[in-house]
Amino acid sequence: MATTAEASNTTTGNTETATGKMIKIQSNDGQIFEVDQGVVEQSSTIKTLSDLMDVGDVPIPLPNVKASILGPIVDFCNHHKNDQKPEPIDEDDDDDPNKDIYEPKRSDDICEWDLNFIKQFTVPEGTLFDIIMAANYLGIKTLLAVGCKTIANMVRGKSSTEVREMFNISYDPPGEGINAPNAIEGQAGTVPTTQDANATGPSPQPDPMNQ
Amino acid sequence: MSLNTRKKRKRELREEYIEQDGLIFQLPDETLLSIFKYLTIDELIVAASVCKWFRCIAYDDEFWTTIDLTSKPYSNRQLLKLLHRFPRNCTEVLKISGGSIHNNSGKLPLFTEQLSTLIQTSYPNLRYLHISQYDFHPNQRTIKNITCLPSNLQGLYLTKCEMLAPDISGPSAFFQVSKTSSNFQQLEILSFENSTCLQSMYIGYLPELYPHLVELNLNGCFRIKSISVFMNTLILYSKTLRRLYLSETQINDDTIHSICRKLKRLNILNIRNCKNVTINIVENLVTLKQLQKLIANDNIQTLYEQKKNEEN
Repeated sequence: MATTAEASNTTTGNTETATGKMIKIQSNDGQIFEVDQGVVEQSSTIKTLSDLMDVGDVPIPLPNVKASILGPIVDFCNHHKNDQKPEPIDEDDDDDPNKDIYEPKRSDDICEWDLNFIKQFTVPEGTLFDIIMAANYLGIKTLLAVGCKTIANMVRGKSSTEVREMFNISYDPPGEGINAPNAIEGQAGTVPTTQDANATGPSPQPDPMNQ
Repeated sequence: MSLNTRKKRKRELREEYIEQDGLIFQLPDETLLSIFKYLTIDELIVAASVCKWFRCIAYDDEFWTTIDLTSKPYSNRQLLKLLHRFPRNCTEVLKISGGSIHNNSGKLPLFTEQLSTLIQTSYPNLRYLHISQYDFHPNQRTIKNITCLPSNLQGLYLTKCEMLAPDISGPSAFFQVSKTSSNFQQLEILSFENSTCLQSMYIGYLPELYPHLVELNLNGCFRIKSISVFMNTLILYSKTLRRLYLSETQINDDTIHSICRKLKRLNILNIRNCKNVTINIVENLVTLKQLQKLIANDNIQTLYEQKKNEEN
């Protein structure tokens, strides 16, 4: 909270930062990228760092991101820097009773450029996760959302076995009762047998998450 | 293998620690949370069976405050199984729909007593219940009347349901409750949207059951007419009612006239596509000083805006 407030204070005080000054950022393997304010604005981390450090020509070190990931991310931000700012989403929307909080979030609204962008990382080597983690670290909400939606779309419609294969997840025995794997999945078209219904037993084990 | 050996083996398997080295495990918990936000409940349930970490995140209360089971068809049997298996104290909103199941006769599924009981035991803190496309006709398996539904609700939505088609078995039995329970004091929102069987006279039973309605939605209930029972009922809600939806009903100018005289607290009124409502009623509508939103046919709407502006 404190950093955010500080950051916005510096912005109002420092008008010349908004006039298109270039800022240098450095990946953990030493490559330096020069980015303008349009890019900086999209990354809360770079924004905060550049405001705090009052960098001159010194590149901002980003020890968690390597060049092969940072490069495409800079491209992404360059492509999106002229996008219209979305309406600020109020995180605490509880006080608006009319808001339809039940509206499911959509994940099929990724624009074509972003789809193509993210496609190049959707490879078995798992660079998609690198992108997501970098977006998370750099605080680029739009990119993080695109990454999360992509993974959600990959999970959708698959069985748990397929999901395990896709993400190289080992089967770890989950326990019994309500936590049993394959408990519900795949039943959409089929009517569960009576045996299944009885297998649940009258009192299912308490959910470990509620303990 | 003896039974004991098998049990032992099973236990070992359960306790075995499995090193997960998939790249996805590098993601922090909150990222997996944001990924799962895009999944529906049934997709979450599949995700929960992938591995311990997925299950941990998928069972986060955040995802279970609203359970929307309308995206995919569930038979009553599947629904019972699902509700039984996933009881949640945190659930506040439950939406079920029987409409996608078409058996040979094309009838809506029955809203059984079993279903109603299970909803109440699995979700004790439910506040809003949406039941769409279910059949409430009197039958030995269906619930006896409306009071068999959860009693602690704030909103009850019975949309596109069949419950009251006049027949010999006592069409109003669904509402006509012998002894008035005071259990429904907190119900504020009641919707019968597109439950076309609903007739004006049944509305007369509502004030006794639900004395504090803030919102009444009768959109699409085309059997609703301007008879005195209906008007008198609405007037009983003059202290609480804020939102009234009457589109596509058979109400006429007289009803609107009474509404404008008595329901001074209305904020929202929907009279769109009511064929018996004429443009003459606009004069009265303007007297509803607290009205923030009028939904009506274009000619009425335009004249209303015009008059409203003249006044200011």
